[in-house]
Amino acid sequence: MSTNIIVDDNVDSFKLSLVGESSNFNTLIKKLGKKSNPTQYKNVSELLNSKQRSSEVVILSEEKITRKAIQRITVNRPLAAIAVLVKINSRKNFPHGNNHAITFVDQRMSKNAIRINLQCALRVAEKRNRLQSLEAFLNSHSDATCQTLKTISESTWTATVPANYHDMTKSLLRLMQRIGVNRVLLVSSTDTGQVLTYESCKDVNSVNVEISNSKNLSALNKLTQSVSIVNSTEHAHKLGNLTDSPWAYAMVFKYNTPAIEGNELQQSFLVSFRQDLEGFNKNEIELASIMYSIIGLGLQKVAILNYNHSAARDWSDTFDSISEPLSIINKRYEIVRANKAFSRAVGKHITKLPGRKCYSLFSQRNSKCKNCLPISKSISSIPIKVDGRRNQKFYVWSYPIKTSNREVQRIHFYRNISVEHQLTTTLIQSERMQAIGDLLTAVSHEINNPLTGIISTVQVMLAENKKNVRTELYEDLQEIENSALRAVQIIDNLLGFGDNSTDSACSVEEGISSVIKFSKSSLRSIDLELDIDKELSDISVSRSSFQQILFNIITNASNAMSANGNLKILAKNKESSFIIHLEDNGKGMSKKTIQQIFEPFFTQKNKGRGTGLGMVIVKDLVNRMNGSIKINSTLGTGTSIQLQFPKTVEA
Amino acid sequence: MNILIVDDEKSITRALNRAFSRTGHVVTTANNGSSSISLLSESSYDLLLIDLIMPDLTGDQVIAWAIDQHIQLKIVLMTAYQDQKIDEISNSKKVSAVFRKPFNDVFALVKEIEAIA
Repeated sequence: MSTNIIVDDNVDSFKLSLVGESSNFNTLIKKLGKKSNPTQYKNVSELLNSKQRSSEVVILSEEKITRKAIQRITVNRPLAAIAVLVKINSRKNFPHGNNHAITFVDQRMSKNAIRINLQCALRVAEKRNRLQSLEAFLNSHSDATCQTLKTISESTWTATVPANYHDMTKSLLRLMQRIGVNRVLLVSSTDTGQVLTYESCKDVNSVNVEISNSKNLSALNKLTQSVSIVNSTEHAHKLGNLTDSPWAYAMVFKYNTPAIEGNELQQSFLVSFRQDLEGFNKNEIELASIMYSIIGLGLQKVAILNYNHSAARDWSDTFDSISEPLSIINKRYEIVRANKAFSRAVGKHITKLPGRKCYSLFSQRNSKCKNCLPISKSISSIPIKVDGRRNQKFYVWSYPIKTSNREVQRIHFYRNISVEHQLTTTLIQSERMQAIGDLLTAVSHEINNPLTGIISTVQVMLAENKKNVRTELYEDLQEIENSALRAVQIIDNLLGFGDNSTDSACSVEEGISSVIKFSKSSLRSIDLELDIDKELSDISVSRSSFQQILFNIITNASNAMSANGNLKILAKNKESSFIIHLEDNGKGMSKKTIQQIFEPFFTQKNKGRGTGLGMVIVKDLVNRMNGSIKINSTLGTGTSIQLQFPKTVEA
Repeated sequence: MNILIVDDEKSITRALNRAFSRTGHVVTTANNGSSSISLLSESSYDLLLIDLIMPDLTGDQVIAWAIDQHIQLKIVLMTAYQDQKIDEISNSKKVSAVFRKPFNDVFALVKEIEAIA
């Protein structure tokens, strides 16, 4: 199409980007005038480094026309309309000297389509050369030009107009109406086509449209129509033979529509008119020719876009129906596109995903995930494990997308393995617990023997010193006996992890008081606040389990507190349960620590001081008592632990 | 009562010795299975208080030997282990009682054993 169409004053939204040797554009720039204000780039890379402008027409000079260049622009600037400038220097075809033709191209067009486009452009340029007054003519029809351009330009980036045969026909008719054609013959080979055509024509009143079935072409001897539009090459030839008239210009566009009910339907459009048509002068016919070639290009483009669009929609529907996250990643780890499940997994709208780094979106990382191989190299189909949001775990499979001429992309398939992960963790945990259990059994038996000796000896000594009850020795011996007996109790709890069936019962109040008595030495420098509901003296609990729970928690609390320690113990009676609330003002714990607190052998105490089993035992005993435990802690300010037990559990 | 106490834990035999002695019994102690066998073959006792798990001969091996030798005496077993074997042994008519270690009160143990004898 000719250059001055593009810079029509009414098309103000266009920004021109010219790519290639600037000398190639001299003529074009001169013709465009200052208003167009094009930006020039030496090569495609330079263009791609510049900021994207939404309504952009990128014109490549001839030497830059490569499929790769067009693809790069299409991929990186999806909103740009790409055109190529072709130098026409054939004296034979173009007696008026060197000229340029511009045609819009699309990466999605087949090679053949680009070739056809270029041929069309050349032919358009040829016409233009022949018509001295065409430029003036085009200017006087700027509305129509504009409309035509819009059809093309809009289709370039919206793929919605004209959306189907119906709209295309309508657009054609409107255009003809604008350029003054008032009689049209539409030929369709199918009844559906006729109905569609008829429907399309209803809106365009001022054009006198006759619709014919292609089967009756032979009956069209008396052609009075100015313009005939038929939908196959065959029909065009037939029509030509019938009328036996010279065709000024005829063009057939073929495209494949998406399969309809399994049958691929090949549509051809022929735009044809006769040079000696009544009521038209030569210039008008030439103009129409140009218009049709433009619209033809537009139609072809639309058809292709339509095809791609519906195919793309099929794909996106398919993608979105998959409930696991999927994404296409380029070699810079940027998301090219993703499905709805992915958008849900990362908590961002689907339109906000392209261009973002996969690792930052999915795993909130600053660099690629551990074990993720470079996008261009990885051929492994072994999944890698990544963390998602909210502690979710995923396996990611990465498959290369095999396209010969595109930059390397990969499709990532994510599978949520949080539940499996949880189960595995639980299994490992329970195996670990089993191992601990075995170890404890062995160890505690070994300890029980010397303990038996200690207890028995101390009891014998106490018996021997009965006369000296008031002496310090006697009290010391009592202390030894108590400690040894408590050790027995602790081992009992460790053993079996508290087979508390033999546990005796005591009241909640008694349980708490006895533990405080036990813990006197560790609570020596700590301010203790005690508040126990009176009703709790009637509620009974398993004595040693309850004592053990409180003892372990209080030991931890006293270890966490330094000077000015304050420990609150509240026991509250509820309807069907009771709550023990223990709150210290110790050093507190981080979130990570709280998560680890129930893990066996996790300890914050100095090496050799803690077993890392205290809270494990607490949790086990609480579970056995059908209770629950809640921990709240802030690093630096203290920890509060709330225990809740049902009253039904009575020893 | 003439008692033979056998346990590889010296503090236990020592304490039990004193506890039983205080209540007027005659106590002999041994700290392994083989020496208990020599003691049993040399002298006669009213009661054998023996630990189950010991390094050389186990309590039940000693008991089996004593039964085999038709040595007449009451047998009381003590153990720190929970094992199916204990149930088997305690069900045998030859063993009067099984006590689990540790004992919370050594004098209560003495009284129970006196009741058996």
